[in-house]
Amino acid sequence: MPETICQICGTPNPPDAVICSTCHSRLGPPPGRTQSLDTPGEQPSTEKENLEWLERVRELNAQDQLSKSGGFSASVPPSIPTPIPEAEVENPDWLHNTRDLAAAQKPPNQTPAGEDLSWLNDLRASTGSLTPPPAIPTNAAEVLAAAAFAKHQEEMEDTEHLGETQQLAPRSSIPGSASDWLDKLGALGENEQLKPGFEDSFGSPLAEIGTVVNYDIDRATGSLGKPEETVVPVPASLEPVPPPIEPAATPPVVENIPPAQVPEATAPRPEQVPGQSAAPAAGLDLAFLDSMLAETPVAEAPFEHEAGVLPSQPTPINENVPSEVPSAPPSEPSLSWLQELQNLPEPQSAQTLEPSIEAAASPPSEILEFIPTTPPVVAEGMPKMDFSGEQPGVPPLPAAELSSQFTSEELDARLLNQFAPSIPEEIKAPPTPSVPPAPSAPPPQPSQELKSMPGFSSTGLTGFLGSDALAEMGMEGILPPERTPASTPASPPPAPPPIAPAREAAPPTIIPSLEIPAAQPPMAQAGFPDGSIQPPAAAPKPPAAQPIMEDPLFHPPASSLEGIQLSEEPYAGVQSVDLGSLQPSEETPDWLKQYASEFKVDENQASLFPSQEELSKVPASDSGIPPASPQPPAAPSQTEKYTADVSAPLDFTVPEPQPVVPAAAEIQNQDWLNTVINETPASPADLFKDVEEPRFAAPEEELPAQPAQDSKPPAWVMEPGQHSGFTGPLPDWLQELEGDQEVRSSPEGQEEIIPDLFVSPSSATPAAPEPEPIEERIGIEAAVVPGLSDLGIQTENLFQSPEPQGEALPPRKEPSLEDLGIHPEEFFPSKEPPGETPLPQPDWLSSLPAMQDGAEPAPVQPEPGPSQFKKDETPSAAASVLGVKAISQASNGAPPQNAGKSSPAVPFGMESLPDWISAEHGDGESSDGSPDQPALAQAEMPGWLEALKPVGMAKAALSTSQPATPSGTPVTGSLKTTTGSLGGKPSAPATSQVASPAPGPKTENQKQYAAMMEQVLTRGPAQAAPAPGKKKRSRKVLWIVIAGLAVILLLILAAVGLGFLPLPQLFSTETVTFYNTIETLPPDAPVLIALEYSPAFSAELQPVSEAVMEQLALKHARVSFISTQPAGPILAEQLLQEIHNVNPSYDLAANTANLGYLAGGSTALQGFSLNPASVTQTGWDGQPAWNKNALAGINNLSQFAAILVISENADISRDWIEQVQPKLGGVPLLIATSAQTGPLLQPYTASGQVDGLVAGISGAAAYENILGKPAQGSALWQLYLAAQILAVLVILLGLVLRISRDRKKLPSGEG
Amino acid sequence: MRSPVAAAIAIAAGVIVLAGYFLPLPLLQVVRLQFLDWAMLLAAVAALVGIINLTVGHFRKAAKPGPSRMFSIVVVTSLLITLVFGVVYGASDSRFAHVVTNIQIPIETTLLGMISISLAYTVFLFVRRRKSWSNSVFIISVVFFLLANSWFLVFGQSIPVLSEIISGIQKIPLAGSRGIMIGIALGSLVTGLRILTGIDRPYSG
Repeated sequence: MPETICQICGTPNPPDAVICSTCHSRLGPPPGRTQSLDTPGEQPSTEKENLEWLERVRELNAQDQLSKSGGFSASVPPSIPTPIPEAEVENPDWLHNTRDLAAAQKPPNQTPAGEDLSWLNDLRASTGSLTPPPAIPTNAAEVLAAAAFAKHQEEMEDTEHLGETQQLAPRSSIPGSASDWLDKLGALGENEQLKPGFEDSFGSPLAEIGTVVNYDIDRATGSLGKPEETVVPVPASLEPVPPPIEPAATPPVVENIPPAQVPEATAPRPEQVPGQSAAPAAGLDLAFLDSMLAETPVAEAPFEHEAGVLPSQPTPINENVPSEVPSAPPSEPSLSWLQELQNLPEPQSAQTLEPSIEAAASPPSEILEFIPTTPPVVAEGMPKMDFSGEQPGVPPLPAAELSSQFTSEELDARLLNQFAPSIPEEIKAPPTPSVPPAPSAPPPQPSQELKSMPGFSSTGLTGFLGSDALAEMGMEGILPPERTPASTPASPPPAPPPIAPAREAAPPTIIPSLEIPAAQPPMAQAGFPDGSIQPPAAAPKPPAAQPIMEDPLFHPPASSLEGIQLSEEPYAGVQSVDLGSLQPSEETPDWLKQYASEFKVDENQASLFPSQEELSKVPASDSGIPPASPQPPAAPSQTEKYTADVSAPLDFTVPEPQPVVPAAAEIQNQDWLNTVINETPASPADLFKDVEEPRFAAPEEELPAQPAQDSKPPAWVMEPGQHSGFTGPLPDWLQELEGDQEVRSSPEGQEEIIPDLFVSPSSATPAAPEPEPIEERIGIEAAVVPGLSDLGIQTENLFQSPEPQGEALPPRKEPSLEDLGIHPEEFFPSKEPPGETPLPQPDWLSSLPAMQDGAEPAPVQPEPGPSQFKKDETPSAAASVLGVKAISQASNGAPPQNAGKSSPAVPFGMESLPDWISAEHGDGESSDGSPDQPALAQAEMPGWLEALKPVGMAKAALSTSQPATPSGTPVTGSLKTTTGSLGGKPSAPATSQVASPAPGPKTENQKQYAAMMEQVLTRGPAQAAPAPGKKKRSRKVLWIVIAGLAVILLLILAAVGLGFLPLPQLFSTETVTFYNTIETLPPDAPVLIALEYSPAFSAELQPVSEAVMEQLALKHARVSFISTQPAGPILAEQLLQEIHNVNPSYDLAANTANLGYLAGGSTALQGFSLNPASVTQTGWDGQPAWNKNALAGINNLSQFAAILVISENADISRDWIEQVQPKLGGVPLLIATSAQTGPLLQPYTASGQVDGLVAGISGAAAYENILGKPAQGSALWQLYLAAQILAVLVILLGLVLRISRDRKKLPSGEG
Repeated sequence: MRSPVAAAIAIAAGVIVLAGYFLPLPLLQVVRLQFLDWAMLLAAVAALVGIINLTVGHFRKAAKPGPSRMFSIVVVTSLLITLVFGVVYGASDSRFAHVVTNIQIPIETTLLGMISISLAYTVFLFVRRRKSWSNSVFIISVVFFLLANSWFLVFGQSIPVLSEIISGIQKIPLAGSRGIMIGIALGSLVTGLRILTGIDRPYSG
């Protein structure tokens, strides 16, 4: 068997395939659909001809004309494809059964053309409301098919990005509408669709609708199957097409259906194209047939489609909408609803769009029961659609003929495209229900009423509806009828006008006589009782002349966008706004607007800002912008404060607010663009046009006296918005700032408020209506800067010397330290500390004028100093000119030209600068003195610059106080020839008013705190520098002196003797016991002496050791020495030598033995205590020690007469006490220790473990005193007493010094 | 398993020695004495090892350039000289004794004297810089006891009441020292018990 070629996509399929594997369309005509739909009055074309239109559609699609052109091009509409013979299609059995039943119920009077639509007749018979659709003219079917194909293509494009398992969500549609069920079919699986009874799934949404009755195919296809009741002229351009597959049954009037509950039944399904059916549609009709067959059959005459006559229209939804189209009899399936749609009024306006949409949301009942079918292959036998007047010549589509004239695909396509947009004449596919257009698809232009229907999307009607082809085809029965203009109700809800102005608002029509409302979906025109639905457009237009309308839901009508120029957007769903149509905001400040104007930089001008005169020339009326708001005349406005009249040098008066310079005409209305343009510099030089370079006036130049009002600060010190170029109303935040500064500039506030960046405390001009004269504070005079001159900008006028403001600006009275009760001289004694040499001070510090006691700090006067920069040597960098020149001016010490005048403000508090900075003095007054170098004239710095003055310079303000040189004093230094140099004389009185943005103290406490801070600040730098090094040196010297004195004293005492110092008279019991123990020893008694002290303590313990040894020597005791310390044996040998020296008769060899070093610490002592002979077998000399006379008869320690432990270490003494004493058996244990260990061993003495204790030098002295032989111990004790006294004196001295220091700190802190 | 063995040996030895201290068993005494001999021997060897380690360390410092190189050279030189003298002349030789006594004693005595001055200066600075109640108490006590042990209070020794007061004041440091000694004794006891019970194992790695 040959392969089955799909009639939709043309892909070959297996012979036994029923569904196309590519497009999932039915490969064969449904049972009973052997006849193609023809246009009314025309015989159905051959199968070959029916396929031609489909082929044309394919061609068009292949060329991508359908998707890009926004609709069907005016090409030849494809012909309705030839239906596949039934014999070639293998249909399932149930379909055959369905067809049999349908055939059995086929009305006898069916025309041959209607035989193709027999299935529809069956459906109508089952429901009782179907009428055989008339034959659909070929051209109309082709149009429908083309539209359906276009939608399908559109859908395919949308689904390209989707996976196999993905699918587009069903488009929103009116429940129960044709598109709704189609959408649901799309959501269902293919198998489900084939299952009988699937249609029950549509019952649920329908149940929600209310009065919407069954999903009757009659209602859905009523326009197709209805017999022609009214003749609707079909436009001649519209070729007759097969009647659309629509139920011809008269849709019942659906009254009061909530729009939300009405499913969208009119939205065309995009996947449905003429001649091509989607998978759901392919099997849908088959299953739908079962449901239809189950119902009572309705014998209806086939709809005789006549050319140019559309089937009867369904009952209009809006009862108030007069309809000239007579409604079809209720017993017959009619297309009255389509007629009603035709008769709907004009599209509603945007205001009433919502009601109309709501009303349109409820589709007619006929549409709810619309059963989708495959698009008809043959556009024959189209039911006549009764479209009144819109598309003359478009025959109605007899529903009864649909089944005979169209294949399933054709009918589906027709039904789905019934609300498709207008397509050109060339494409004459059967109309299909309209669906919301895809974003990429060109928006169709349905009628207004149609557009107003919710969910209606005219994208599915791309190029189809409203086209001439439709009119020629006479597809009147597919789309809802459009009401004539005359039938427009008096107060219908306006349909949303189209958005794109380029696109006409003409609704597309499938049939020339049909004009679908642009703002309403077709369902809304089907006769919903909602009175808000507007009738369709009155005057139908040829489809070809009707542009595609956009979906009103996505594209508000043009009427709603009146006054707004909209730009065409490629995306139909985007509403664009032409910025050019926007009016400038009235809130745009003038100072922004004026940037739109072109500035003319006068090369002769020093300032980069245009002068006020130039700005005043700019007409303010041209801009059309309201002039700047008037400033309060009483207080100086900030706008005038910083207006720089650069043309007039040294003019710091605040200019009048200039009107806003109008922007360019083309951008006048674009506020945002104005701002961007105005703020964007045209050239790099423009970046600096707002920057004023400081100018340094020549020293010999006498700055012209400028009236206070004319003087103005340079532009670069102006506040934003205050500039000469900034005229007009300022923003609120700037105005507030002006107000604050105005307050500060008031005389009252000047005394208390610390000047901020923009306000000088002394620059207030209360009388003048101008703002605070910042120009008075500016002491920097611009000099000719080579760099700026290269730019064509003269800098001599950038800065103006401060004017004499002595009269106009009374000096600001500042509280002095004395007024605050602070006497700095108290804290800064002029005397140097005794013994201290004044540290050399740096030159810069010494150059500072000394602060006189009680003298009120006066403004620092600049002193001529070495000029670092000359006039012509000023750097070219505009940004650094200010600072550099200021320094140069100050270094030169050139007094300002108006030095004699009390300039109101000096930048950085120039009045408090040291002389080398402030060039206040005249010629030769520099402290360092460089007579050969001319002094620089100082200029006044603006207030904001003055506020930035470092805090450390405040001290200089207090330390230097020289009267300002009178005006006219020539500036010395290298900047003699410059004008407007930095004046050394600060305009503002230099006191504790350190420039700070914070307001000055207002209360007494605040003033005191401020004074204290000022004192700290002024005092700190002067004293902090030499303190660290001096302090160290003084401390070292102090201690050297003390130590030296101590040593000298002790040497003297040692030489003289300290016999006058009393020896200890009181002896401790331990000392007495010790003495008594030794004293009571028998002669030749063996005594063990443990010499456990280190050489370091030999000086302390040797006296007692010698004393004891002498006593033992007198006793002729046999003394044995042992030590657990390495140096013990050596010290023992030394002690024996000393004793031998003292008492030569004492035989050391016979009476002494040295057991040497015993290693092991406490363990060794334990061993020694157990068996001393085994532990110490040899002596220190290496000879057996236990054979000596000193150890004769000694086998253990208990055989000794006494054991003496001499140690400075408490642990060693404790070890002897713990390890040896228990083994002694009553042998006295005597311990001689140092003074630090004595207390630690006192408890052992109290417990009786230690019989005698001698501690320290005092003990030795006491022991000697007891012996009656003062020796070394007594001497040491006396010396020790002297050292103790000296230590006590040193300690007391430290206490005194600390107290004195604290006392010194206290007065300064409390003051 | 080194750690348990060492702990067992240490514990056994400590228990034996402690038991032999309380139990006058002959065998126990013999073992105890033997352990003590071995301990003394090991202590001597440990001292020698310490000297060798110190020498080697100073040798390395002397060989490595640095600021403390000279000190290491002096240490090593002194060690070698003393070693040579002791080996040559013997430890009991008077000349060797003179080397030790004439060098070591003056040095250590001087250092000890400087400590006292440093302590006094520290107290002086402590008094000057810090100001608190503890500082004040310390200063007062230092001054008082210096005066009490000095001749300033000598005149009061003949006065009966004052002498008792002075003697009582002189005994105040003894009370503090007694408390310190008790603490030391208790600490030593606890340390010994910890070693005997194996809680502290300073010998194990």
